[in-house]
Amino acid sequence: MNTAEHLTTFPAIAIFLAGLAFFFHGLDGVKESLKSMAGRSLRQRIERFTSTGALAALWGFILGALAQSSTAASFIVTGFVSSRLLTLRRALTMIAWANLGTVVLPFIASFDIRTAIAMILGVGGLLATFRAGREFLLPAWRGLFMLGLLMLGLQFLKDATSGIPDEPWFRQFAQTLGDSLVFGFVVGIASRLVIQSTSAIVVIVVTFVNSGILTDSQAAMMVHGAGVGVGATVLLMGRSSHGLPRQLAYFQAIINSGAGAILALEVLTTKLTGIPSLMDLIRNTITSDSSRMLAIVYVVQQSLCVGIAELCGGRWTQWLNRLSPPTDAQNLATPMYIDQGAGVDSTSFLDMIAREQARIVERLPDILDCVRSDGERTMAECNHMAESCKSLGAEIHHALRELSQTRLDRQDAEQLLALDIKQRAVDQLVTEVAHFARASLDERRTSETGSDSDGNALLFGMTEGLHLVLSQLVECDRSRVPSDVSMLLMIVSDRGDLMEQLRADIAASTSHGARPGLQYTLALFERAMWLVGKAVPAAANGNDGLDGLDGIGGTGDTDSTLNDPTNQTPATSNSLQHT
Amino acid sequence: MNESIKSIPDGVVVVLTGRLDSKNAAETLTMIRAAMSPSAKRVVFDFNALVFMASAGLGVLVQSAGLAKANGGSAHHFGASPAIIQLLRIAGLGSVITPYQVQPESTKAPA
Repeated sequence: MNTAEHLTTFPAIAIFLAGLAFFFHGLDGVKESLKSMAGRSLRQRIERFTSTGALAALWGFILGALAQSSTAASFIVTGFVSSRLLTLRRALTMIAWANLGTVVLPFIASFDIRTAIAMILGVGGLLATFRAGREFLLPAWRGLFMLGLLMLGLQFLKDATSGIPDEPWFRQFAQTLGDSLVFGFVVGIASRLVIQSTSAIVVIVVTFVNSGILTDSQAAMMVHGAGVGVGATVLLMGRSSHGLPRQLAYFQAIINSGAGAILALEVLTTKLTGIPSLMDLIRNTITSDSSRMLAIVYVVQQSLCVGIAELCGGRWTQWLNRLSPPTDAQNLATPMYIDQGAGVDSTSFLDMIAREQARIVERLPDILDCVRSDGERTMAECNHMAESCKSLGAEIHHALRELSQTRLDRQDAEQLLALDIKQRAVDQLVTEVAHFARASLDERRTSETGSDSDGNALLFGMTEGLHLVLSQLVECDRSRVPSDVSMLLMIVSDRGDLMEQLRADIAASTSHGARPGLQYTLALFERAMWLVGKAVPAAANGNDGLDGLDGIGGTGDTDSTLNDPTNQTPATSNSLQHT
Repeated sequence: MNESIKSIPDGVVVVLTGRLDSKNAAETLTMIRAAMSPSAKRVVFDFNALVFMASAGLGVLVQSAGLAKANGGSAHHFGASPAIIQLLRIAGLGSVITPYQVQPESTKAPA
């Protein structure tokens, strides 16, 4: 990893690109791993660790010190928030204090972050490869490895750019700055965009001051410019994000840019008015050593970040919601009812779980939006919607499992079992509908390329037909009108002959050719239709909901059904076996 | 979308033209609901001039069939293009809304 000394232009670009790839891949991996781990129990543990503002600040400070980069700390916290392991309020506190945490390591120059990165990559990677410990720990090991990859990416970015200050052209460029403070500020911004570490910039600036290339004031302006550069970097790297991650990027950008801009204004104002500046104050009261003076200026700047964050306190949430409203998918992933269930009786809690379940059912038709004729969502948005449904589904399973461990009367126990069975059907329905949407989109492209109008018509019929029954399921879930329910059951039941005929049609049609993809899409469609029948509201279904157990993965044993929601045997229909 | 509703002795005939999708489905259903008296046992859809139907349109058919069924009747269609027939078939509405083989006298356009 120590490549900086021998960098020439081409390797530097290659390392820079590799750094970007590692960073983004690591970031995605950390988020995915955190999502896999984000159960209620882990969230409760993290809630305990960050139960007060002071604790969140402490963890933020430690994170900043360890990550040695406010950008990395910011994205790690974003992963926690995206996985709902951390509330937005606590995340803001952590990010603000992570900025201050980054000042620690420049003072402990002996600590080599590369060793730490290698250790994280090695330990995390080996534990993940050999699946050490229990199964539920696997996402944690993968997350650790991905965190190492993220930090390695940032290190590569630093390495790729660390040779720049030694380049003659850069020194010449710095000398042309003359006495210009504004130019120093702009160079500070640009430097931070390229060199992904403000502390590294501070170190570089110190060498320039010592060699007489920059004055103290210019050096301070570069550090302040780097603060604004942090904001620009975070916004640039998080530009494809929406909702909560974007909110955190805005927050980081605002506090860093604010702190940098305020201190830059201070330098300019004192220069123009002749009033003693912060640098003068430090020089006269603490130290006249340039490197120490700049280090203190950096600490003041990072402290100002915290100050700005704390000054606005609770108003951040409101402002950030306005700047980047939470997306539909993020709202869906957040439980509305079961998180407020502490202390309520079991009957009321079951009612809350049922309402939470209805929220998933309501969004099922939206997962198809990306392939519908009048849909407005993109494939990525539909995938996010499906992920959010699964995430909320996991919350429901946890809530049901917790409730099953308490003493319940017969009626509540039956309702709990019915809810659990329905949730299994809904979980699988989410998966099947998302798979169907993806397969349908792929097949539509194939049909369009080959001008296969029969294939297109079949895909259109399946998509609109599935959307119809999902919409009807939503209606039945809301109204529970027996006639609506029986109508829906009539639509989804007894489709065996029709499906056989459609399969034969595809096989016989010369225009379809050998289209296993189309057969696969049809199988997904059939299975989704079958699952809709299983998810029809039990109370209005004229049964106790227990017949839905068949094929959904239950065994009829209440304990085994509730205690291990992940232990599902996928239901198999003839078509899937065929596929 | 221009839809018109005509009364027949035991129900209504709904003539659909153009496209039936999310833009006009709710409006169409409201019209059908208003036209269906409690004694209306049959709802017959004339698809002769219908060129496109999305899931919201299928929803109109299902809801209308539900209304007819609640009155002890049934829902039918005629004049559907092969594409619409294929759509109804795949969506599983074959038994919900059945073909009406003979065009009723009262639905013929006035001279």
